[in-house]
Amino acid sequence: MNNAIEINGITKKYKDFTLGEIKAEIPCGFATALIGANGAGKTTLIDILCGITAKNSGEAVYFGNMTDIDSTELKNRIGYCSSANFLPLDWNLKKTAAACELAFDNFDREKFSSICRRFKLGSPDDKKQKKIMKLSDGNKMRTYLAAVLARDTDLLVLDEPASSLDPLARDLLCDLFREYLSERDGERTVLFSTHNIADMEFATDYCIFMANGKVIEQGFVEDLKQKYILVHGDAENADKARPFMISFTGGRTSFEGIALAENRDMLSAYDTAIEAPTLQQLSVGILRKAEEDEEK
Amino acid sequence: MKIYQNSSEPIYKQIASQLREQILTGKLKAGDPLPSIRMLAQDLKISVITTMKAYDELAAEGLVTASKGKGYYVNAQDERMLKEQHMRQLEKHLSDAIYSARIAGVGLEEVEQTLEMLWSIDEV
Amino acid sequence: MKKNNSTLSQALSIYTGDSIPKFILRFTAFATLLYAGTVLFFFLMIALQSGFSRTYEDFKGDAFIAMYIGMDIAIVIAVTLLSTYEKDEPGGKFFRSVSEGFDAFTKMRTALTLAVPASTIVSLAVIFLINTAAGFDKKIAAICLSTGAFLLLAIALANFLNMIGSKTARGLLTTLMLMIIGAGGAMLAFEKDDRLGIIQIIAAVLGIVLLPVSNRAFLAHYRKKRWDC
Repeated sequence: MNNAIEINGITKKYKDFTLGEIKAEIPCGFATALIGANGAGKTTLIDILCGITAKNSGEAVYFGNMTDIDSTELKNRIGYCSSANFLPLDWNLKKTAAACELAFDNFDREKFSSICRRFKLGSPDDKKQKKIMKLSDGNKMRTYLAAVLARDTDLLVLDEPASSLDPLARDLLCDLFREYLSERDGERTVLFSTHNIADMEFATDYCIFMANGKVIEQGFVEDLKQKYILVHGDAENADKARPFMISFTGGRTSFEGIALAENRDMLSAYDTAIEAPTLQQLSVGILRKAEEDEEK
Repeated sequence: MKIYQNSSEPIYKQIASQLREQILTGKLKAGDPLPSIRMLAQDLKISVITTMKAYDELAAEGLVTASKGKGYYVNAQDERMLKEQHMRQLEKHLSDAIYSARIAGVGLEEVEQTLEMLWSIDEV
Repeated sequence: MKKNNSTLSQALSIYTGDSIPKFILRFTAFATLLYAGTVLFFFLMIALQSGFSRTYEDFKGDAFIAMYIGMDIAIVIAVTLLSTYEKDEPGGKFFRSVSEGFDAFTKMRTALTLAVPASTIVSLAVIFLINTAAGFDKKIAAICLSTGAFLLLAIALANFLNMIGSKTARGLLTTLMLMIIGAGGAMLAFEKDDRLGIIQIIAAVLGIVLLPVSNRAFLAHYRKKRWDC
């Protein structure tokens, strides 16, 4: 399997936060979700991968053989978009189209207009233009997405695209990912970060979990769903089951948590219900464990 | 195709068994193309990895073949292999019946009687 | 992949929306309207008390007209040069992702270093015309020329001051410096009674020489401290 990006030992040190060492892969042809709580380092990692921030050490290899993120070719092939501080707030659709046309080789003005129409943002050719600062958060995000989707890129990197979108818009975002990927089947890749995978679950093929500046788990969604199980049981068996579980929440009548599938037999002996976890449940379990580990 | 997102049966297994059924009952004939993994994933709103896994399972069973660049196609099922597949299904259903019988405390004789009765009804 | 190397004008357009000619136009319009507005405002205020013709006579060749020429243009220069395009400001991340990266930023800054002095000269020319048309033409030619010479120097100095770390200090010092030098240059010509001397020539030459120097210094500093971080 080809990798769109191979991350080897990237680190970044801030005054009160350290990122690294990060070792991970973004597989080519699929949608990868970078999942973690706020402050886990997702934005820092994405910024480094897209050349927004400089790294302290390590390297990233793009499309198999490119390593200089400042090269014009890479900057054109990668479609980056963030959810905050992306475009100047006094810009409007017309200005955005004009700037993107100059800033990138592969910006398609027609496509931009049609995406804006699809997102109900108006048109860059309208006489009356609305400034971005006057838009709702959701429409701000839609504008940023329109700008990046109007470019013919090989890798889409989106920093928290779903955060300011309502569930309907998130569903549309999933469809957009699928359309983007199927336009050049197997050659395009999507990487997006999120702190809530719930609505994006079924458009996600590969996951990278981050906490406290480190990658704590990664893999294809199907493989992860086989590696982990979701366990429910009665409170009386809680203490017996607990040592085999990765994450654990116990109430007065029952307990629930994530465990490794290899402990399935042990756990089923304690009168438990075992099922495959959703990505959402898996995230909660893995991230909770990371939080507990950090507090120790 | 219908799948249940929250069922305890993995989605890829649901897809594989529905396609298997279609192939074994002849609804999908030899040489028919399966929907592309991305199209299917898009329609069912699931990850493309899941459809890949379902198709890989069918390919491993010899029911379909992956043609490079063109997608998956249904294999010609020879008579003997088809019968083998059907036998496997038959054994599985019978095992389920036996399990139910044991729980209900029903004996072998009564099961055979029920089988004969149902067989004659189903003679269409 | 289509090769995309933007010109200075295009790079400026990415960041500010204006090509170099449009920038000069917009700057000039703003600077001259600001000047005309200020003077008109004070004229009306005083005229309503002391009478129009008397105020008109007083204004002719009055010191503060000279001062306003210097200060108004200085303010417009400051506003233009103080935009920073940092990562954590709106637009900062987009500009960082532009395909030419730091080269695009360099071209934009260089375009500014050419466009701002050009705009200043054009604005002063227009202000000269306004004053002549209004009949305030005592010493006005000398004042405009002197202001222009000193502002050229001030723009180069502003580039140097742009390297200051603290945003508030940077803004305050740059604006103050520009206003003092601008008004000072104007007043110098006013006091010296219409004679342009060696001082203006030195200021202009120094300014022209320092413009590319200060631009290069600023870009090197910006790359090290605020881009590669």
